[in-house]
Amino acid sequence: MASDRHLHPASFLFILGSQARQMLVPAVALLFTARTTEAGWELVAALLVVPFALIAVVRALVFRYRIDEDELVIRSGVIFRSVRHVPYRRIHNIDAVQNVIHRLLGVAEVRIETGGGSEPEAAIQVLSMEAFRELREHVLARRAPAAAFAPATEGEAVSQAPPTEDSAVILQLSPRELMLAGLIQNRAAIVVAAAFGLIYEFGLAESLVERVFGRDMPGRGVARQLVRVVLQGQVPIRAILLGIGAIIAVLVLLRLLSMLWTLVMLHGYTLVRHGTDLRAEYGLLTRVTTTTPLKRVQTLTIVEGLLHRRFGRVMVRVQTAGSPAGNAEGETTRRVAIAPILPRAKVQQFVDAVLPGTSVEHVEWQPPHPRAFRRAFVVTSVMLMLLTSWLGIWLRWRWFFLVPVLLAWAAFSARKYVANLWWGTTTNAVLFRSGWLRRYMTVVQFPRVQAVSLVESPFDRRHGMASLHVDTFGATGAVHSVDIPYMPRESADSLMRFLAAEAAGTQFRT
Amino acid sequence: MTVAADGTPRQLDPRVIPFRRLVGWIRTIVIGAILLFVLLGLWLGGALPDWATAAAGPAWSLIVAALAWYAYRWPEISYAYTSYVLDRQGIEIRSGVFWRRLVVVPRSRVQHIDVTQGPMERSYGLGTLVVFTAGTAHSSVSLGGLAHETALALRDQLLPKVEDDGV
Repeated sequence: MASDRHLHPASFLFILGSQARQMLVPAVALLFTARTTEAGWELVAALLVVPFALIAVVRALVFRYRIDEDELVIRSGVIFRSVRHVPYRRIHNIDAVQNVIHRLLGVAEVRIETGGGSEPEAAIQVLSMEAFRELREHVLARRAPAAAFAPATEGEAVSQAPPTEDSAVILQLSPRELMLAGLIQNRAAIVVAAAFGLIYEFGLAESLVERVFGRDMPGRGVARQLVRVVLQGQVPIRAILLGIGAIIAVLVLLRLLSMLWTLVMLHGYTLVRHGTDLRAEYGLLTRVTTTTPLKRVQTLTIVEGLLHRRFGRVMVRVQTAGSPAGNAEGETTRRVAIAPILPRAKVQQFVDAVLPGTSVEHVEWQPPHPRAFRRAFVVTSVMLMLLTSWLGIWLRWRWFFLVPVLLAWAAFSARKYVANLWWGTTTNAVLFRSGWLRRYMTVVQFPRVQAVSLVESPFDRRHGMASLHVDTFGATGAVHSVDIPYMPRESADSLMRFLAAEAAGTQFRT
Repeated sequence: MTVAADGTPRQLDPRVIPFRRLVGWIRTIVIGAILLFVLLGLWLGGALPDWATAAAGPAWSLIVAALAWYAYRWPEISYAYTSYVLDRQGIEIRSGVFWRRLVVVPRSRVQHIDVTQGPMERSYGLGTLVVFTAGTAHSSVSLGGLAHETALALRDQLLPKVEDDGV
């Protein structure tokens, strides 16, 4: 039986340091009130720093870890005690982080990452480099095999590429395709909105308005002025036509900018399967290369907006575990869709390349509960009435004439929503479709299913419905996930059991 | 002790009811005191119109009474609606009275497990089991109100073993 190990003696310093952020606000507050008294800052130091330091010392003393056969056991906490068991098989990474002070003392903060969550699962503040190396040896010796990232020990000649390099080009986007993508997606909107804000600040917008509408419209509130003018019956036709023309011109300009932007950002977009990795290369000015191991792909979502449908294209996004290795841009590359634009006919082919053996075409799609429309209608109606309630202040009793319009819109919208809600399973994946203006289809293979949950609201219970959620790794910020509402209760139950059984029978490895 | 992975639904430890009642009383006292101070402050500062001053007393009593009743009754109610099942596939946890939730965590998806005990939990012999997965919405699934030994036993049962290559 292994013995308990303790932290490095200097650990309390680092624990104190990491608590400095918590100390900051009370420290500043106290210092502010203490500056007029004598011995002010000494008292602050005594009142704040000493207790925190004592806490740090206690925490450092109480922290223990043990290197067992199959797992790392960490004990911490005095009041709120915690015993954490981390099996070695679950550990992906064990890193040592050192800042200047760490290096001076020959210690490091050890971060252990397992398969879940965005924070390191265990952070040990601090261990001596020797203790770290020993821990790492034990961990890596029994770690999950087939890890496609860090080399096992330093000095080992590492060649990550598999012996046989079979590669296949999955997708290559011509400039024409890229411009089409830019046209459909309208990415320049944000940039231009910011620019517009700036223009307004500098008063350029006002001079523009003056030029178009003549000098008898002083001050701000162009829209209000316009409405007043229209209601009063003095309609300046020329000005309005000019205004409309200007708006159209701006919209066209936005689209052109977006096309240019996409052309430059994604120039030469090529997606290649290199052994077991997906490698994407793109960019005219900044050339970006991202590598994602196929195994890291968690979910795949096919997005189809109105314009996509018009041109017979789709966009495909994937959620992956962790950040792609070897990319130059960091965060931003994750925003790039794996297939920014793809002809609809080629979707199955693409899915086969990324999620081998998964069909998105031969799926027995299941509809929602028959009463789903009724519920969706009620929800949409209530929401619309709440949203337009402020108009009641202005229109007073006339607002009630709006109600039939709102109800008609709610009925239409609910009908469309429910008609586009489907779920299904294939031999190795669960799929979910939703959305009517912008359609989404998400595919999750069974080995990527984490926990499955079912929620029944009181309204659900009345109608015999439930919502099912299939949890996956790294789904924060996903455009779409398998979150199925308005399912018949029995179907939800049996799907949940089925997915849990499938997930239980497979191992989750990244 | 061990918990048999036989798929029978189990309830929390009955001691969780007095424990949560106590927590509820404390919460009632704290909120009541804060409300009292706020109302007193407003009244002394003259910021309360006459009707509010008259209504403040009864209103405060009503709120505190409601909180107290909630602290007394709710633990029993939520106890009846909370259960868990441990079987060969994994663990299922049911909770929620109005919004009912069921979470299933397959064994092969358990990353690691914590058993925590606050100081009050310790005096009642209770503990909380926190199961961590690689998911996002359910990156950690907790089950509080278990007997400490039961939580430890569940943890031992759920931790992946070396030979465990999926059921």
